[in-house]
Amino acid sequence: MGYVTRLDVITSIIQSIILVVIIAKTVKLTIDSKSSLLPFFFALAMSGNLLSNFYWIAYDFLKPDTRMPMACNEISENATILLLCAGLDTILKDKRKVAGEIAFAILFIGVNIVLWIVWSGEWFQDILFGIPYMYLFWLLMRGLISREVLSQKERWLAAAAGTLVMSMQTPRYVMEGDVFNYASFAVTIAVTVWLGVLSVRRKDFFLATTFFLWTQLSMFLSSDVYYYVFFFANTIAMIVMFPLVKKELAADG
Amino acid sequence: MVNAENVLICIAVPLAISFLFIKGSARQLVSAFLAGMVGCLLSAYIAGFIQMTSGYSTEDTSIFLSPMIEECMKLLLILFCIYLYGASSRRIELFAVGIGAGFATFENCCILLSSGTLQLSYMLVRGLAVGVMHIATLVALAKGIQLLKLHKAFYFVGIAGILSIPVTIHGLYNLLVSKPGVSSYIGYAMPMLCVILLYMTNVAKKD
Repeated sequence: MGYVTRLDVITSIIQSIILVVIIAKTVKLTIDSKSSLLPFFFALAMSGNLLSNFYWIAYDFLKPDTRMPMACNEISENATILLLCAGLDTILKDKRKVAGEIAFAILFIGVNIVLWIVWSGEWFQDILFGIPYMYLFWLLMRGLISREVLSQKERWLAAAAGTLVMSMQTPRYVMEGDVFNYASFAVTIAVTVWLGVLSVRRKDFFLATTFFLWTQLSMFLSSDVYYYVFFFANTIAMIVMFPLVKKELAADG
Repeated sequence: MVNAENVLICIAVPLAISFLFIKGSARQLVSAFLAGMVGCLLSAYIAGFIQMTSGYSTEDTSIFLSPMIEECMKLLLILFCIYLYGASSRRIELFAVGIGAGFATFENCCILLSSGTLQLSYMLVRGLAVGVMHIATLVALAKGIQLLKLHKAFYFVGIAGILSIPVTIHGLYNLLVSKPGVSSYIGYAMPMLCVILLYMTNVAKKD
């Protein structure tokens, strides 16, 4: 078993332990608050994530150092995204459909999908599984704008940083050298830290889910050790999300 | 080489005839059982087609793709039964057990006929692990559907979320048993553990 596979097993085990705790606490929350759907969907989403981790761990042990083809865990990963969408949908008050927001969501995730296809070559799977990300991205944008969690300046900054990361990804595939790799990693990690700090400070579920989505997308755009940096951030995002589910419940009355 | 359609006709015709003499939940159980067998055959057709078009090997198809196809087919069957007979909690579980048992029985029959009479230990593994797996994942799916109805979330996203759980458990099972050794023992024990857990939740609910 190679170094990267071992790293994968260790990080997956750590995330699984954290997920078990989060799921157990969220299930208790679901039982206590039968009227709200958010904890129910959140518990299911985290269960999907946990099962996907188990699948990865089993795969790493049984077929180490090989690339996993399209497999069942991807259904779980996508169910996680869909269930988060369903949870967010229940707490989103202002569901106006602004053309610019929808276009940006389609464009931003569309570019991501193109990059996934360039990397993996699995166009059908990448397009199919990318669509829920578009919906999640739109929901998050709508929530962040309608709740005024981020100021206009911060929203522009986030959009600019996201676009910058995407535009730096493309030359990685056509140019030699690591310059764009390092630059892209530096900007991505800066946005990750910024979103993480804001999520903890502002205590908003939409912002924490944005942090989660960003870490997820960053994972998909990274390889080797870089991937695990964002995997670690992804675990932190899930830890940040749980208390905010509770907060949303309290706010709901 | 087994002609699966012939096997289906042999088992299905007597069961279909029994409809003339049974009523109520017995009839629903038998129709779910039949639906399970037909679903198994259709899953095999779809898996074969996808294997041809995707270029996956037979082993990779059974490990990585079959669980998705089979669980989606089972979900469709459950939804069809709910559409036909209504959706009380007791009925959903009845359909799940019927479809699961039909699916597992038909699959086991085809395997048995294609491989010949093998060792008793192999047959026990097939019966207690693979057979039980189909029932376990379907009962889990049924419980998930009941939960969705309880939380008034019986729509596409909820169903997709619930579906992912049996798909991944089934996929994990197929992956674990694909290699001999400790992993296969864990895999063989998994369906029974799932059934025990599901049974315990049933008992706890009654208490």
